[in-house]
Amino acid sequence: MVNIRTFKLVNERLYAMVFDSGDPAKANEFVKLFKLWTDTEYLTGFFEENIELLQGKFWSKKEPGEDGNPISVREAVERTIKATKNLFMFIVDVAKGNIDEKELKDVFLDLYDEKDELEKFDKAKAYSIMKPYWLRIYGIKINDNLFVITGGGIKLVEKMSQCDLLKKELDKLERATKYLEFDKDIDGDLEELIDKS
Amino acid sequence: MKEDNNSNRIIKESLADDSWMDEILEGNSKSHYLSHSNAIATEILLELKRRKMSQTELANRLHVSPQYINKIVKGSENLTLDTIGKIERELEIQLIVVPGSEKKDATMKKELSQSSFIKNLPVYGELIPLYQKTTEMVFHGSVQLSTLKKEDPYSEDYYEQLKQKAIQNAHARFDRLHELKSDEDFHWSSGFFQEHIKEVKRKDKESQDSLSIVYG
Repeated sequence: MVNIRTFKLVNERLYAMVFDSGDPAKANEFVKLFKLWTDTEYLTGFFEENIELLQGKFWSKKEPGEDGNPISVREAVERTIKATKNLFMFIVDVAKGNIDEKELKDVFLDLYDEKDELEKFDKAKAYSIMKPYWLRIYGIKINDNLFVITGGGIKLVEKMSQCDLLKKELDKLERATKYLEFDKDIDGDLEELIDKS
Repeated sequence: MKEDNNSNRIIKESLADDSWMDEILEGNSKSHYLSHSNAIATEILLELKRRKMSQTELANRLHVSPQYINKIVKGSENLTLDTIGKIERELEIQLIVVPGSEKKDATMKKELSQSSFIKNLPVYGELIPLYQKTTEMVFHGSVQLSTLKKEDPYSEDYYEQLKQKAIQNAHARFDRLHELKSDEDFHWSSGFFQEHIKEVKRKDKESQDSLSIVYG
């Protein structure tokens, strides 16, 4: 049995995938991501594990510490939590129409520069709106104002394929795409379709 | 329209439970203390890692459950001063600084730097109490620089000086005992001294001499 569903965040605007069993209000990808990115234990472990990338050339220039030196784990955790709260509220507010002249299509940009003509829906990403700019929320664009969030990641590498955690996010995007594009008349069995991915 | 079919399916068939928003709002409504909880949690986690101490071990030492410690290190607990103080004492770190006490610390640091106590501090041989914020610790027999940590606000200028002085003293004492072929016990646990012993041993071997000092 396929354990994938969509979960309503904001009616007719914003949805999130649920890949796990359990309470969908907590197990949907949007809330799961929020909990993860505000979890000090997770973030401290993550940045310690990726300290070389965090303090490498790229982020040292783009996101230095307060003293101008490469950013410390402490600062990275603190800034990530602040940026997470900001980004998530922003997305919810845009979806609810609380922010003038902003629509979801302005928040979620195309994941790839070139569109895959074979795919019905485009894959999309939302960036953090304040520093640090390493937060990514991934989703699928059904139309300009209807998006389904599939997950997210802290992107310290240049390409998603360079990080195992982000590669998993690519898999989730694929599985979600198959689920969302599913048409019983054409595709037949959903379970078989998802299992092939 | 294909796209309409898909979007209609999403809109009609999605699971729904408006309580999801509570999870997000909770984080924001508690932000007045959560930013402090997060910062404290990070400090605790980094110190636990430095000490190679598990969360369970800290829980045991504080007589609380491991689950409670885990809640603290996730940054979601509204900590009391009592808990913070106990963790500070157990891990010998400072987790919060009150503005007034910062001033007091600065004054103490200035006084300490001007005192002859720190300048003339002998670092080897006898029981020597060293200034420490929480408990009195001593140098005994061998030099234990852990009493004065690099992170201590008072220690930044003295830690390196003391370390070098301790190493010099220890080397000199060891050499003296070696020269006398004393069988006096000599205890030293620092890697700096192990190197020195190796060097002395190498020279002994070269000169066909034997090392008679017991060291540990």
